[in-house]
Amino acid sequence: MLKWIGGGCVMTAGAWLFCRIAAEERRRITVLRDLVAALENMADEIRMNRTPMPRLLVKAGIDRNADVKDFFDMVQMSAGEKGFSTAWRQAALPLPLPEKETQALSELGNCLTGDEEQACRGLLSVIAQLNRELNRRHESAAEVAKRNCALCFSGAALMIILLI
Amino acid sequence: MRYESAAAVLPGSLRRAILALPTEKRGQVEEVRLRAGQELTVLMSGREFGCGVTVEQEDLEALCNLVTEFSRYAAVETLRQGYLTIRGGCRVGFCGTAVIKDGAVMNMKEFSSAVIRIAREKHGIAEGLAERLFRDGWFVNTLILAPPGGGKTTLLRELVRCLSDGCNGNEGRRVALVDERGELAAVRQGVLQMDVGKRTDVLDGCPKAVAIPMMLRCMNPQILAVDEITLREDIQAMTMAANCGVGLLATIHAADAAELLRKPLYRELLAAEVFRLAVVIQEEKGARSWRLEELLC
Repeated sequence: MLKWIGGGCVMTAGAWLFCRIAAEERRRITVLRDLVAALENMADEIRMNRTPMPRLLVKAGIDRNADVKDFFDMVQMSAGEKGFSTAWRQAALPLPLPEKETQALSELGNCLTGDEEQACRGLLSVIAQLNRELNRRHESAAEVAKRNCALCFSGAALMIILLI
Repeated sequence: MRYESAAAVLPGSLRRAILALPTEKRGQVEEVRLRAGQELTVLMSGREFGCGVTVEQEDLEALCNLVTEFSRYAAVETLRQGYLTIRGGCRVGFCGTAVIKDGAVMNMKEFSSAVIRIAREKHGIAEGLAERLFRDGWFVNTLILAPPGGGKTTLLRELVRCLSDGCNGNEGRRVALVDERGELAAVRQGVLQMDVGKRTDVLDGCPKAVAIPMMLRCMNPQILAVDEITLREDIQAMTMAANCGVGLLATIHAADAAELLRKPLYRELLAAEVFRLAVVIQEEKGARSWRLEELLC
């Protein structure tokens, strides 16, 4: 009886781990998607309306995932104190992005304080890079899910066998 | 308040140095001057006084970032002309390296110096003047004359306010103000930083020759006010406006009507009999006053 309960706990732990990994992957995809949408809106606002940066940052965070909203909020709050580029770079670090994408996003802060051409060029370049990463994740989502599932449940099964 | 708003756009140590100035002296400060590698100075009564802190080139970049709220792309239209307007109406002028494309200045970069001009409104300086510009209830087209730095813009702003709000029994008029250089109303993100009257419509940053027909077509003004007529196109536009029955108020660099006659461009203006009155600003022992002259060609 105890073995069955123990086996059940190990299996539950495996399922919980699988769900956590899946949720984290969904979060990364949502952050990528919301960032791309926010940066595209920023580029449009700069090109069409030349909207000043403070208003742009507020608009960019509206109706976005919590990580993306926090990113724009942090830039807005600390730009005056640390300088825009530094504030942007520091706010980008906690985002759940791969290293290359984080670096590209961090460097975007330098472009945004320039003229319209520089700002839009920087935005389009980062948007393209984030879009590539987003597409890659979408394409490999099913395969990654299967792999994670296999890993979590086979790991749990192995532990059960060893325990029993 | 305007002194404090000017100080607010300065980076750290420079702001502290400016705010360290005694309160009684702040009202006399006309400009704050920043030059890379030189001491920060303030201009009072025509002389510069040091503030004990050196300006770095990074301070000038930080100043531009603070003034534009990190949005240089949003301020490029005025930045390419070398100036920015800040909250409160003060103007920041920049010197640096011009970015030229096809012969036109597209932008400015690598700033080497800047000047913050403290805007001051002087309510009351047009007391007793506005009502004297009317004959039988009609506004007489008027020029304001003074040498550079003589107070024309300040008087023009106050006159526009008086004409717009109404004063001494005269009802307020609809005034169209063409603020080509952004010095009169100091519009910032659609908000007027200076009081130019409640019936005044402002077109900011537009050349006069283009703006005047626009205002006539769109805003149905009773009086059209412009600052600094300098080009033949401006004179042509004003002549056209006069033929539409709109009252005209403008400024010109000239000590008096006699000097106006010595300049060929303005001789044409007087020959067209567009303006009938001149307000001549004179300065004596540091105090300014004005007198009215009839303009005869």
